Amino acid sequence: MEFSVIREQLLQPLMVVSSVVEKRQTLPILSNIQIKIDGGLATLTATDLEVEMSARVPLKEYSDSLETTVPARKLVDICKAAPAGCEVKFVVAADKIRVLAGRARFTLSVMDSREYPTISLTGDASTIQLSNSELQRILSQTQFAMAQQDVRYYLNGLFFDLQGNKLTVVGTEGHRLAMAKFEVDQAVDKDRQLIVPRKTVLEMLRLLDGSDDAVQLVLGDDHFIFESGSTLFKSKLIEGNFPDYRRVIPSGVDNKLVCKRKELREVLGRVAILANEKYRAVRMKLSADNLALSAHNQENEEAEEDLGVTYSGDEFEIGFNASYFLDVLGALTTDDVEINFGDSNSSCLIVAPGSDQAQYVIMPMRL
Amino acid sequence: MDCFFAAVEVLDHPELSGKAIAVGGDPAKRGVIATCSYEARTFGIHSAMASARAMKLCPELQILPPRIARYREFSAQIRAVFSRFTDLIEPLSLDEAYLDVTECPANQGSATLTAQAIREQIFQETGLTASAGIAPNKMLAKVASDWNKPDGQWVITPAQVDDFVRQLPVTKLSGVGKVTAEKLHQAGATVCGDLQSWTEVQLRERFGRFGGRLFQLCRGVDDRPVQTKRERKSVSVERTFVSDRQDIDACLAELPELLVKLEARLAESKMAAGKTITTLVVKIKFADFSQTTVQSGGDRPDLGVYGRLLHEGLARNERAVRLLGLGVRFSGSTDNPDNQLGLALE
Repeated sequence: MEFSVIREQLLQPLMVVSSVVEKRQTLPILSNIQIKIDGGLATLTATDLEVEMSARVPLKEYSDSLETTVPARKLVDICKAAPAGCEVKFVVAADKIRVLAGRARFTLSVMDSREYPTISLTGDASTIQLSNSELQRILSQTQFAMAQQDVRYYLNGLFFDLQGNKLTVVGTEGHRLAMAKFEVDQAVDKDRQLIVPRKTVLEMLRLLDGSDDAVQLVLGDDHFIFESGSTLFKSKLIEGNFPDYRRVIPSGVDNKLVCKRKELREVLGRVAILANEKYRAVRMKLSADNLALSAHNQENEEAEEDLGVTYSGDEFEIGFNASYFLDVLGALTTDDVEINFGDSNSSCLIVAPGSDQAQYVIMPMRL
Repeated sequence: MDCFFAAVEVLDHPELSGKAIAVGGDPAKRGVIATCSYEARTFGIHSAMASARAMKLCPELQILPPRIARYREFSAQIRAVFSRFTDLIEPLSLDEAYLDVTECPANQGSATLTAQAIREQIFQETGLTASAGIAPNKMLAKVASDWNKPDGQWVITPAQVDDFVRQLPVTKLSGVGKVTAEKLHQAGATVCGDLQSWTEVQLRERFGRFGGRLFQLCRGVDDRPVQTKRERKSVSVERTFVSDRQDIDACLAELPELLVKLEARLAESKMAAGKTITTLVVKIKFADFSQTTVQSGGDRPDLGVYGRLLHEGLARNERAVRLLGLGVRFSGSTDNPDNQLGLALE
């Protein structure tokens, strides 16, 4: 049994798929990728038991259908190192696979494909369609606020809240929250609420290129699927209840400040140089049409800078972790940014003026 | 507090007054004594003793099951009294705390009178008696609090420290248990005065890092501040079986229930929120009371990982298992300072 494929057609899908292979596995077979040959196409699949990524590759030649698994990293390295444009030929025997690339010959060990774990999908699901670029926007506008390995495991991912045709995606690690909204063309019959794990979100972002192509998302009872072109990416969900994000979005906002997004970003970047390296506390003093920013560190070195803004609210001071602000200012794309303050101890709400497509809540630091 | 749990029980059940009672686990189910009354102590009963053994020593002993919720109520009352005198409170348990009263203006700055006042107010408001130790540092205060129990207090003034410490048995030092005490006795040190002739290098050679601490403790030196905030480093749950679990399958069958308990404990622990789990731990106590722990990296409690650790741990001893525990350890650094406010997510 043999098949062959052009290096350039194999390499990219192979790298995408093998990216979900963990460096250290709980099962030896998880360091392998599965290859299924059927009707002129090879389907490559890898899994870490939480997510499963597969991609299809057109074959140049093949003699029969087959299923096997080969070591992922080694195959990637072999294909990377093979001469450009060459044909990579695979000759499959019972417990070995020979890989011929250019004039090099490799013999890799294989493991039984029947032992390869798959993520089983149960329960029912709703499918939505949106463009690659829209999904990229929603994820990149929220992913930075996800928790990382938090004990509150339900925060270690993004919350997808689909009601009718309205999709809201939310991330929070407890001190700040990011939310993005999108309307899909076709409303779903059943509302869906699920927590997509952090790894899945980041992996999905790597697959997105900002094109206008359509992608499909399947929101299921116990799974999540992303499908784009020949790539299929399945993921388990984080069980548990995501907090009610609507409760922490401040309403009845009195103190609205508008300024140039890039200017504020630059000023914050400068002032934060002398903030405590770890916590990056920056003090903001609000007064009529002026925002005075300052920071100091343990050595009592200080930085100060004033920024002209549009503001007519209360005069007060408030402290923030500059990193939280910089994340938001980097995620928004508009010229202006609108910051709605309450008081020194209350959260602020940041949006693009006149838009609620993306909303950000940041809790202050006590000064 | 003087035999706190037992004292609360006597308060709630006056008919038990003057009797040998204890709070602890069922003797038939391998329980241990948590606290016992002074009447029970005359029989040689002490905390951490197996309940079954306590019953042998004193057949009329009444062992009451613990009512932690009730003890917490009293604990809160006691802490409320503390907080009238100082904000610098380091709770050690429900009924024990270090208080830094250096800056406390009450009683013309006298720590002795302040301790008196705290004990009086506790008695008036709860009906429970407390003992106190007054000294220039935490180590000496702890020793002094044991010196005049129950319902008493003891003062070690800075001028008395040297004399007091020279006579102090090494077994009274915190961190000196059975093993270290035995080593010290063999080396000819029974009281701290004996230890003072050792150089720091000698102590370190013999006792490792703890030697450095011994060098200070035996001179009555302890510069640890009273810490109002304690960082939680781990969370764990465990279960002692009424009858030993004989094989791996019987042990594996216990894991799901323990895991549920662990997850519940994590979910309700305010101190765990925002922390990062780095390590998963399985603790096993065998029928011969030998104990082992097995750990591996991990970022959330996982049945599969715990199962694997259990296999690994059980391979170390052929005996049946009397206790199983599951736990997680947190990463040492927290990413956020105390003054960062949190969202009201719950």
